[in-house]
Amino acid sequence: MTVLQRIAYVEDEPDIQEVARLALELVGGFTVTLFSSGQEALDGMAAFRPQLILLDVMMPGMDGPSTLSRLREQESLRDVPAVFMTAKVQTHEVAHYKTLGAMGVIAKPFDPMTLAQELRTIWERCHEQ
Amino acid sequence: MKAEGFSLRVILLVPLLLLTGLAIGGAWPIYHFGASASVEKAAKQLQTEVSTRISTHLRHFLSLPQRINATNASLLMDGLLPPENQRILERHFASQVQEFPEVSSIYFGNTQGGLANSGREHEGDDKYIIATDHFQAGPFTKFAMAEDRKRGDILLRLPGFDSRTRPWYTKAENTGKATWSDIYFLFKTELMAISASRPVWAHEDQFLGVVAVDLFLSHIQAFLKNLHIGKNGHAFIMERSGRMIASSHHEKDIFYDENKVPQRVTAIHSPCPLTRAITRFVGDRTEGFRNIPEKGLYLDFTHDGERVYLSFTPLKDAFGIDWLICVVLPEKDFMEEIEKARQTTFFFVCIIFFVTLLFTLTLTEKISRPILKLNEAAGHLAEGKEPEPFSLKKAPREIRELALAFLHMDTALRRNMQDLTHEIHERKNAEETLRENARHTQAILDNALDAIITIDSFGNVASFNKAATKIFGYEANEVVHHNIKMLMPEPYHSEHDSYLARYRNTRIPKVIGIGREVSGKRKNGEIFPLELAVSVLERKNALFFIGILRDITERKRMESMKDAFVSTVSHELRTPLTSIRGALGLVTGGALGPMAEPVQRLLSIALNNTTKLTLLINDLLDMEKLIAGEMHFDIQTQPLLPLVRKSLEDNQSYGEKHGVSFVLRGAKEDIQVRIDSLRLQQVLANFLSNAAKFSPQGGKVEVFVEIEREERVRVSVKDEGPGIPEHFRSKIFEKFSQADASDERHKGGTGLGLAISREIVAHLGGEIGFESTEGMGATFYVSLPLEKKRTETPV
Repeated sequence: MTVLQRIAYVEDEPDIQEVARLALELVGGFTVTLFSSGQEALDGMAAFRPQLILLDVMMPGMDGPSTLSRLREQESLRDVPAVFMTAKVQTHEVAHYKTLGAMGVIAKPFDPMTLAQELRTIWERCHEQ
Repeated sequence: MKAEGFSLRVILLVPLLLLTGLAIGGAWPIYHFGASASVEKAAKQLQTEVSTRISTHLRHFLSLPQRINATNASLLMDGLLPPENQRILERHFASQVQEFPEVSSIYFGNTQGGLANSGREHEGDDKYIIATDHFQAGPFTKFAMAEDRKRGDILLRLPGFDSRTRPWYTKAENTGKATWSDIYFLFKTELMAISASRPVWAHEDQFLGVVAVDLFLSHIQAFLKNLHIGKNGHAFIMERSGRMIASSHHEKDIFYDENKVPQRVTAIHSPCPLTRAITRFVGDRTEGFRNIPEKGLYLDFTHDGERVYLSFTPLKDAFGIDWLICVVLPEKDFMEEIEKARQTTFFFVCIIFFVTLLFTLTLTEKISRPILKLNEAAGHLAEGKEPEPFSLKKAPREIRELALAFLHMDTALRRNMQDLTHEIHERKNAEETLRENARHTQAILDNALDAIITIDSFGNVASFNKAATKIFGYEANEVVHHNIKMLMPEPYHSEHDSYLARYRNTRIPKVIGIGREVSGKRKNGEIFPLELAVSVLERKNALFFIGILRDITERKRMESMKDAFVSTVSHELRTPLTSIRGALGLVTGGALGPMAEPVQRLLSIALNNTTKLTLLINDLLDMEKLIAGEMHFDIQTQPLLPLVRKSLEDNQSYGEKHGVSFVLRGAKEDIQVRIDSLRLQQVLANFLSNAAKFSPQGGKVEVFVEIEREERVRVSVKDEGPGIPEHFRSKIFEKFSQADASDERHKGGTGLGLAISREIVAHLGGEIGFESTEGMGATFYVSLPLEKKRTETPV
């Protein structure tokens, strides 16, 4: 089983971008590429060849679910596991995200010290299947 | 108050007086005519009686000379009297004259014209004898009769008498039988006489002469005069020829001719006016007396204004007498008594009448007076005035009773009137109150912000208030009596009738008694949300539904705005919080290397408060979602115990932080419930965290899972804390409620936990509550309906 290394992170909020990037890079030791909008992700994510895509749900312009479905249209990103980060984590909402192809949901506000581990757990669960 | 008809007095008086009058007036003619008939009958009877007496007397009177003649004739014939002996004959006749005072003279005329005569003077009782010389025609001498019935002194001597020429002689000789002469006056007098004569034969062929008797008719007059014929009645006798013979009431019926010779008069020339009148009357009626029948004739006529009864009785004998006896009776003779009786009767009748009148008047007054008084009193009452008092002491018992009844009625009436007035007053007041209430109600209805619509059990609109007009855009008159469906969009529009029908039949309500949100349709077709509360009203066996509607378009708009706002705020708050918490987490987590102790401590404080803020925001959002009904519940049947265990585990660290241990008691493995596991854990977390917060250091929190009756399970969390203060108990489940603000800060928490828990439990179909004694800890519990085990419910 390959080790999770490259994570593509789509987030419009710069502060959260920074905190999450630090948490993932410093605590998790991942390589993180940041995209500030859905469009940016559509344009540049394929080149990064991410192993896991982390998406904020609420974004101006194109939201997380829309971005994900557009990303799925790209051949190289079709099967890359995706995880949503959102404040809306009621059971039915989580279920809804999962029908959109998400492998997991991270509740906001997230704990930066455990974020990397949570993603790793999801990634591992995904690969076990 | 005047009514048609006669007055009581008239009704009583008139018939009574009429009856009396009729009785008297009816009796009077009967009495009068009866009396007249009786009078007539009595008169006739008296007339018959008188006539019979007269007739009997006259027959006897007139038979006397005939009998004397017959005797003398037979004596002469038989030779017992010598027809040639003048002296013996005179003596014989003289004795006969003496015997019969009615007789004027008795005599015999022989065939030589001689006369032997004994007689009586018409004045006084002197007797005489008249004899012709030699008993043959020639001079004759009148002698006074001596005591011995012999010739006495010569009174008169006259020549030339021949009896054979005298009418009495010739008539008897010519007829050859006994006969009467015509009536004649006695020589040189006004006295009437009649002669009966009879021829005398010695043998069949030897004519001896004629015997005769002169009769004074004045005796008849005397007889009539002495006859008592009623009081004023009288009688007279006449010949059929009408010549008068005698009368009881006037002296004579004679007149003197030119030679101063008295002549008899006929009745028509009588000096008596009554006799003349009678003659005229009878003459007119019967054309003369000759036609008066043998059986007699009874008549009556009026003379000088007085009624007179007449009777004519014929008197006949074998020798030629043909007279009429007339009896005259004035009615007044009879009427006097009757008149007297009449007067007496009339007097009594009058007295009776007046007594009756008086009695009737008194009676009428006695009866009518109290009635009229009553009437007057009733009239006063009818006009609403107090009637004048009056006495009924002398009134008849029934009327007194009537008056009493009337008085009772009056009293009852007055009382009823008072009651009625009172009642009317009260009713007016009640009506006024009712009207005021109605106005009040109408005002409320008109001013109500909510639409209030009433319908009958078939959906027809009965009322439609102003707010309804404002909301729906229809005027009341456009809706009233129309079906309420017109205000409904589909699907309510189609379903409403069947819903009402179902309710009418089954009384199973759908919306009655609970409020709910439905849609309405305005006049312009716009469909809008409304909140509807329906209550049912049964009035006079008819069902009415009262619908209170509120246009919640604005509220919905506000709610969505608020939702958007909360959503926005939560998002806007979470984003910076995520950044802050992330940054602080990284620093305090040591991701950036070690830091100085004070810095580390301050950053920890910041991180803790960020966490609290996050929790607060989460609670706020949860509360908002719960109240708005947006909280999603994922309800599934599942075993209860694992959930409880998980809650204990999840909160173990929090308990440890407060130095409190959680202990599970009475656990039963097979308890199944239908719940949202996350939400129940949220509730239990609230209970456990509260218990931990309020328990003393080293305290023990016990969690019980127990089966209640009525198929429920109770999960309770018991702490050893200070308990719930009395004043706080009623508010403990309210939002942001705190027993002690300072204490709460000390203990921490949002103040929303129990409020959220209550909402969640309500949504799970459970009950939430607590039991506490101040100072002795508190027990919070949630009670949930048991779900029967799957094995027991066949699929």
